[in-house]
Amino acid sequence: MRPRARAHVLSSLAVMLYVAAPATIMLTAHETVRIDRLERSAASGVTASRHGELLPPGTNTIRLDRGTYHFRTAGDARLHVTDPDSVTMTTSNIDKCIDPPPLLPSAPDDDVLMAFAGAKGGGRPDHIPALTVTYGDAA
Amino acid sequence: MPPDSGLAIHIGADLLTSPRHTRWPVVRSCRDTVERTTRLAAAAGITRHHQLLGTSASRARIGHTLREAAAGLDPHGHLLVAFTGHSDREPAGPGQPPGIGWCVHDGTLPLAEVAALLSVVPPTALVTVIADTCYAAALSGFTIPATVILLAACGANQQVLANPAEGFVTRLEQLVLPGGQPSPRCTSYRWLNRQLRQDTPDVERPRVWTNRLSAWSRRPFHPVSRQHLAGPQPAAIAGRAGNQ
Repeated sequence: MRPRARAHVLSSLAVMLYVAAPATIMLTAHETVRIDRLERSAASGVTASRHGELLPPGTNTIRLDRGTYHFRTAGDARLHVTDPDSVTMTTSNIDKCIDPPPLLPSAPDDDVLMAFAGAKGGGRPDHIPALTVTYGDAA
Repeated sequence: MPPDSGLAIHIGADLLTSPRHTRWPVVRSCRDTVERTTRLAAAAGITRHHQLLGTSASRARIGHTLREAAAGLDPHGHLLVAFTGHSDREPAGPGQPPGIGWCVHDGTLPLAEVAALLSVVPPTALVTVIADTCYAAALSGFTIPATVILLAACGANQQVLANPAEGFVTRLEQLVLPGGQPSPRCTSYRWLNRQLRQDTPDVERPRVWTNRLSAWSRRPFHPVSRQHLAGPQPAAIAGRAGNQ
């Protein structure tokens, strides 16, 4: 049995943020975005809990404490990091398992070792949105 | 043996053995989710439950259980199928929908097969599917004669996190059975759809889908009455009209 014809374009960008010290980022996207904080426990492994309120479309300033965070978008996004020494990031076009960057001098060891146990679905996106990253004081 | 008036199949694919799937993160909430869907099915008046976890969540076992359930269901009965676990997606050619399937113990169970099995359910019966997986709404792309209500963790082209602190079914149970009791506010699938979609990111948005307009006003997870499908069956009406 074949499904009825329908557009099923999978467009997905997944971004991991490794925050070594409290930092501020500015995220611009044309969609509502959720930022998750990843935490590890012996009982339940790595779980993703929502960090703060949902971010409405537009530019949002987010304060992040030390830790590991994750967000996904279906469209292009811009990320501005004021302190590049405190925040490093990894992007992936598949959510299944995002490996952390191998060597991050400013990231705490525990977070570097934390690989994200990603989504409940396998398969590569049909479209990978672009992430533009800028650094410094001026957004 | 009399036909079943209500039957539920709860699938928790928490043990994957195919080489592609073993590298994927284990969905640790499967057992908990199956318990939650069992409580939801019980609230709907269903007393017969099959819980398929671990090695029991195999292609053959799921197929056999679905086939028996579909064939043995009362014409006005209710079949609830819940799946929690990974799904896989293989992009198809231009203009073609991707091939999506549920990842189970020993491989992938294509949604086309699930839909074919559900198509055997009497057209006057009710099928509720809870899909707690990626590409969850993709089952809505198939034609199934029975009334189908699909509660999907996300859209057909969306993915959900494998191990969120609060998953889709947890949220669903909180809305339908807060504190273990039916919510007086949960009076229709229209309401439930709005609540599920509130406060969610665009990249991962749950949805309720049904192939019958009349189902939107049904009370979610409420025992089914024999008159639950009083609405017309389009194919049957067309057939009668043609014979007159």
